[in-house]
Amino acid sequence: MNLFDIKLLSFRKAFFTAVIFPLILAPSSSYADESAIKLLNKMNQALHHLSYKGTLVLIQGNNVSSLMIEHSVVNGVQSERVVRLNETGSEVSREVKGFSLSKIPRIKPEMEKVYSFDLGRENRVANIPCRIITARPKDRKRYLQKYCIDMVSGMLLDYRLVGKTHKPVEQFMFTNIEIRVPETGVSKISVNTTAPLTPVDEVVTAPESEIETLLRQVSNASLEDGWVAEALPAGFDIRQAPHMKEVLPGQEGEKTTKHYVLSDGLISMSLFLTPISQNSAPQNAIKINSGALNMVTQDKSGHRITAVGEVPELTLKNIVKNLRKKDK
Amino acid sequence: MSNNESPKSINEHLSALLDDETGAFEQRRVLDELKSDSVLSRKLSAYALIGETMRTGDSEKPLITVGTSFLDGIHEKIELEDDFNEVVLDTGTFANTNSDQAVQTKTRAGSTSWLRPVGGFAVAASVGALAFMGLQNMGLLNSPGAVPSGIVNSSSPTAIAQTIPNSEKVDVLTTSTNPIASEKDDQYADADAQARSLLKRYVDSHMQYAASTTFVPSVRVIAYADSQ
Repeated sequence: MNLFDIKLLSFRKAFFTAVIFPLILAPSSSYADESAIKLLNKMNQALHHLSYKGTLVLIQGNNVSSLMIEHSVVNGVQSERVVRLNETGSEVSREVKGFSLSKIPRIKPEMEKVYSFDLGRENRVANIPCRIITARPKDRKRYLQKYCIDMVSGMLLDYRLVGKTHKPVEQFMFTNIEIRVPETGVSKISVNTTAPLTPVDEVVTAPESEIETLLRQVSNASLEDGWVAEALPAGFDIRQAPHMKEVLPGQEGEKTTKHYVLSDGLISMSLFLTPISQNSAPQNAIKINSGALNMVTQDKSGHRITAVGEVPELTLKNIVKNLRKKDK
Repeated sequence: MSNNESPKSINEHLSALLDDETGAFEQRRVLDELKSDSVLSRKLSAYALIGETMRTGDSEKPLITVGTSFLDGIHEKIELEDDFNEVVLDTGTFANTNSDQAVQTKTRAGSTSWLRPVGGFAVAASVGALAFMGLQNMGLLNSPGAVPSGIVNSSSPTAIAQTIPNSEKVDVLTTSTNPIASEKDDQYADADAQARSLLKRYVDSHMQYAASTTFVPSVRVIAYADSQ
């Protein structure tokens, strides 16, 4: 092999590596992302439109509980009831508020700026084959989310929020489920309950648009009372929710709290700003070792600032830290 | 039907099913049985849970107990979590905490403790219940005797309270200069209703307008001093 041949071979290798190889990979990678987003959006639709009833295991840190969830759609109106179960399948607590699968948001194109959506392997949950989808944040300021979705119905069967230690901070997984597709009324898998369940809490989900109309888009540089939210994590926008009136511990009189909602489309945070007396004691509070929801409170510039959200603690701390009041 | 199987055999089948290690024939057979066998279905729930716990769990706190149903063990655990029976006021673990102003005390809350009502909600408690829990601590720490009037150094945490169910240690960091005052149970209850209501409203409002998670929230709170 002469020098020319060697150079030609090197060139071919380089060309293949630099040009051909990426071209081969690109469509499949793009296809995978697109499929992942399509399946996530199918899931979102399914969670609103399917009628289903099942038992799931909810794991929050080291705490485990078993819930029965029933979601039905009658004349386009969704209703949902969630009951905590004991071993025999009967109710053990009055109600479980706050748990709702229909809260999982729809995936929008702009979310791809901060998450990569990957189609994973097939798995099996509650005897149903499902496909794993990962929403992987492109920074470390939010949790990784993993879904396992029944590709036929779009039903979400397993969902977990994973922290930076690679352990789920919260997770639920169906152990049995009956899914009824509205058009056909076909039941996929029958549920075996050994004791009658007593519905204790019925929630008719308010249409998302109703909430949306109450939120007003604002700029991070023009919050009320001269506040500026600096260095927000990428992809977050701010909207203002209705004001709240409240009485703070150790404070005289009723205060008006401004509530701002920060969201990257997939996860959200709330920022509450309440004026306080300058000489008041610093806020103190609590930390519970489970779950994805964190809360941070700081007194700053004559305000008590409270941040709540399904993001890592450090993200909330930084948001509060970077909230500044402009001098008048 | 599962009654004709030895328990060991069906357990193995279930385990294999969850691990995706069954052949097509076995898989179909177990699935057919699951449709009509409630005992088997419950076992599957238990096995799924065991699998998840093993994958994600904490070996120091095993959830699994020996018994016919794994969920027995879980609900035993729930029962045991009725008491948040220990509160520790401790010095800071945060690098920037002003250690001069932090104090360490330890309080055992008896059966009449302010903590007791919290216990029933220890596992996957509702929003309100967790908020309730949080604010009981807020009430404690914001009570006049427990919280100093001074403000500590800027941009560093001044207080962290931590509640862990069932006999696990609960750490509370405070800027208080009067640890003795914090030890009295009565003071915990002073600001409860007000404080409870406040955090509950924050969490409820977040759930109403912002929450994107399906989960019943748990709450972790870190408090800071005035950074001015």
